[in-house]
Amino acid sequence: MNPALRHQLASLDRTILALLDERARMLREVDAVDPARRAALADLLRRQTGPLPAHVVRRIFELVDQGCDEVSAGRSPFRANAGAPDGEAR
Amino acid sequence: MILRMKQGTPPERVQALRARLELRGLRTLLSPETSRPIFAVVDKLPSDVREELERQADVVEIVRPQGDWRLVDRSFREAPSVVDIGGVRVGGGRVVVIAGPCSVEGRDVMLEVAQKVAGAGAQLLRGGAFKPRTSPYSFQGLGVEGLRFLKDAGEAVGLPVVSEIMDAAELPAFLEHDIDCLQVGARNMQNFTLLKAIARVGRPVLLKRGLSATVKEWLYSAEYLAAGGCDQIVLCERGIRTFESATRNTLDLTILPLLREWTHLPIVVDPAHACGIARLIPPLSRASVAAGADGVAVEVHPRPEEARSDGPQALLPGELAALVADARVQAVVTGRTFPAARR
Repeated sequence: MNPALRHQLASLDRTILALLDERARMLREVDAVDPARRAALADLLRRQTGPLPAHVVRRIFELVDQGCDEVSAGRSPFRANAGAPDGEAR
Repeated sequence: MILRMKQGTPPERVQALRARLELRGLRTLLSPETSRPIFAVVDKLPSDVREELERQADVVEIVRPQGDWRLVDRSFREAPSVVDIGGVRVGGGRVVVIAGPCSVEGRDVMLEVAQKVAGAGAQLLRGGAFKPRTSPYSFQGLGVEGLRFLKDAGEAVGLPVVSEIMDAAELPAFLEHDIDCLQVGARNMQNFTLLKAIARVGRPVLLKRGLSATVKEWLYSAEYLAAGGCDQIVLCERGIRTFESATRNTLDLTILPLLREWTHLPIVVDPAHACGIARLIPPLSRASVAAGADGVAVEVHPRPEEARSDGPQALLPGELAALVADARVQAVVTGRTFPAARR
């Protein structure tokens, strides 16, 4: 792969990760379950116009929700395995 | 000149060096930096003294600031400084939103705006009680009563408050009402008597850039505050006068990365006064944070058409919420954090 392209992908990955972590932090701050989350996710999927298949987007966000729920509930697998070598926490 | 010494240099060696310089009639000022000894030499260094300092094993760097300031120079601190405004930390990799009405107009409307500001996720509440209006016939603010309404609203929603002070005679009222941050407006940026008086009271200061002030003049004003004892200074870019008349002023984002090199002080941007048009504020806020601002200061009003000052540049509460969401995303994608409000 073109090194510049690889660099751009790595930069995008870091940004996606930073935003996902921020999302989890935000939910941990408010410590509340949003009853409108299902409708919000449906709305998000309706807005999706990019090349990713809809079922993949849905799965990604279901996993995001699951991860955020675990962080909010204080049972994050990431925190539980904080001392584990890279890759084992997932 | 600013002398940066090796990490771990014993305090007695730092003190001995300062004493030698002071014996030569050179005043020195020690940085509060804890990671390494740093001190400024206020007076011009004679060449023989400079040569002697360059030979000192403990001195790793002698920095000449870009202008005739010392305490606000970037090299006077190891890391960018962080200002604590009523428990909200500004600077050091955080992005904050300061929001509120241009003028405090009354108890009820102030509380209404405060609730919207807190609900949107902004961290600091602003509101003008003493208003520096261009025309003497314009609304001049509610004065001391306005400070009380602002503070009460801030306490009701759990947000520290920022308000503009125009005259040293107002200081007792600001302290009595426990205003968390004193704003020095653009018109008073070079009111050195006011700066000296404010510096003595030990409150955080939001120092706006003068309408036609250069960056150097702005930093000299900040140095007045620092030299007077204030180490809690936030700079605020709010647009400058140019030949352009399509907007109220011209937002000078050019200076944000430059200020990062010249000073350790946090910098926030007030895009509202820069452009004077509410619909331009969201993209200018995004640009400000993307360019490195530590925060944005905006005006919000539930009914801008009824605002007693600067209605055309006031955001609606829903627009503020969108701006705060944007600021959070911008903070994260630029590698910084968006702290939760203090509540």
